[in-house]
Amino acid sequence: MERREQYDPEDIESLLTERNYDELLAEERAFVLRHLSGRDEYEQMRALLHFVRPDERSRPTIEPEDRTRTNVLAAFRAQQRPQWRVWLNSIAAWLAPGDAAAFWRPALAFASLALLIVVGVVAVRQFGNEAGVAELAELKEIPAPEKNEVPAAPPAELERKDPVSPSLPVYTEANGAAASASTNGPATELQSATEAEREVYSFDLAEKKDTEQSTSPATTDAVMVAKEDVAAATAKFEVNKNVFSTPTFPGAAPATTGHVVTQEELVRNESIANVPEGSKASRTKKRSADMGKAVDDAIRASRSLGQDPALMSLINSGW
Amino acid sequence: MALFGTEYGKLGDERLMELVVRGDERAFAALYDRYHRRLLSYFHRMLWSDKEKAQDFLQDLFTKLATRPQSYDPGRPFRTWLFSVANNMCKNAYRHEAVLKEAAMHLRNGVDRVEATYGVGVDRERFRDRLDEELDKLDPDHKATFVMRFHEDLAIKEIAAAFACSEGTVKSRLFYTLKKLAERMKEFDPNALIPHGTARAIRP
Repeated sequence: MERREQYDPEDIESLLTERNYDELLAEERAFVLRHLSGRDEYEQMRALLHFVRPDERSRPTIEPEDRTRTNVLAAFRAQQRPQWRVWLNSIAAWLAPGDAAAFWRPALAFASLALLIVVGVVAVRQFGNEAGVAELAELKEIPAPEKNEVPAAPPAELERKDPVSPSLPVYTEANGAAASASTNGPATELQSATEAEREVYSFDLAEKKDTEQSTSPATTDAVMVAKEDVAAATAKFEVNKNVFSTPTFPGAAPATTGHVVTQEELVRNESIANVPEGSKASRTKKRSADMGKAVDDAIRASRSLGQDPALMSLINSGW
Repeated sequence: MALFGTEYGKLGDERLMELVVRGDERAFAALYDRYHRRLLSYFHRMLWSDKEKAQDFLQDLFTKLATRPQSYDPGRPFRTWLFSVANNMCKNAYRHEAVLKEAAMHLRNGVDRVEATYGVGVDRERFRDRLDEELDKLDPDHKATFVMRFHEDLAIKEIAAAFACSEGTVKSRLFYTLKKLAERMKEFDPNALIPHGTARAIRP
């Protein structure tokens, strides 16, 4: 049985180093001849190999210039200088220290930055909306100020049993300030008074109409009288309305209309204090509901432009 | 470390690199002092015996090491890693200067023919120059393998690690490089080249 080849082709280096061609064993020579042409080539390679090795040691060594060492050490020092910068990459490396080198990618850095900006914008908008809604909720929860507070007075005076009570002073615009000082404010007083007066007039007219229908005979004179009363009452209402629509504050100059408020008007003006508590509460509730509705409408209107179909269609057509 | 009087010269390459990664300047200086001559010689050999270029490459290599010490893989021997980086730098240089190199080759071929006519009375200096020229004509991988093996005296295993290839590939490259060089330089008298008593055992 033939002996197995002991050498690999690349192991010829060891043969070249150790033995010349004549010193090779038969099987070694067979191995060499499988890869080389013969003795000459083997000896040539051997000579080259023997020359190269000692030759390298006899070569004069090359010395780098001193500035090379200085430069590389300066580069190292510059790199080790503390840098007071916080990069997104360092944050990412802190989150995943095992693969820190992978975060030194500009694309990742820019993507992280863009993501942070988007999240920040969304958070700011969300927070702003929540703060606004919370503020409006507080406004809703605050009970409407009681505008028609009446100073502590004997209930007998507040009752409207005798509308033309002689004990009440005549209310003129000159002394109106004194009269209105007992309420929360002059503007509130005026508004409440106007509404109360409107109710009183409508009540008077209805009462008058009922009286006519039930008691008077169907004569032309009576009808004419009733019409005149209605017209007079309406005219009076308009005059008072104009007067009270102009705000009058304590100490303010009198209005140019020169209208003198009669005692009856003053009584009617204060009649708002006699409005039942349930009616006041329902009005306050209605006003709060109206305000809440207006706020909701405002919030709905202030939503993103992206929800506006007309605008979106315009943008789409533009793109 | 300086507090305890550590002698950086006695530390291994890998330990020094650990210190470099932590920002130890003296460890970096120790590595530079340990390898700058060998690397300069390698660059000089690989880059057409251009000393200025070799010096620039040496500075570039250590600047890279200074600015990005984390790029070193602690699982690899430092010397192998360093030479693989140096080899990649040389490959890039070959790509950039391919045209220039080709022009230089034509020029050298003309010179070679003239020298060949005078080739009988060769001396070691001329043989060395001729060997450098022939090495420049080789494929970059074969040339680098040859230089690492016979000039820088790296072991087969280290060269294989530097090239990320098998030891068989390295041995094969060496064999064919040696064969090709011997064929191209056969006008030189082998008996005149072999110095007596210089045969020595080689590293596996």
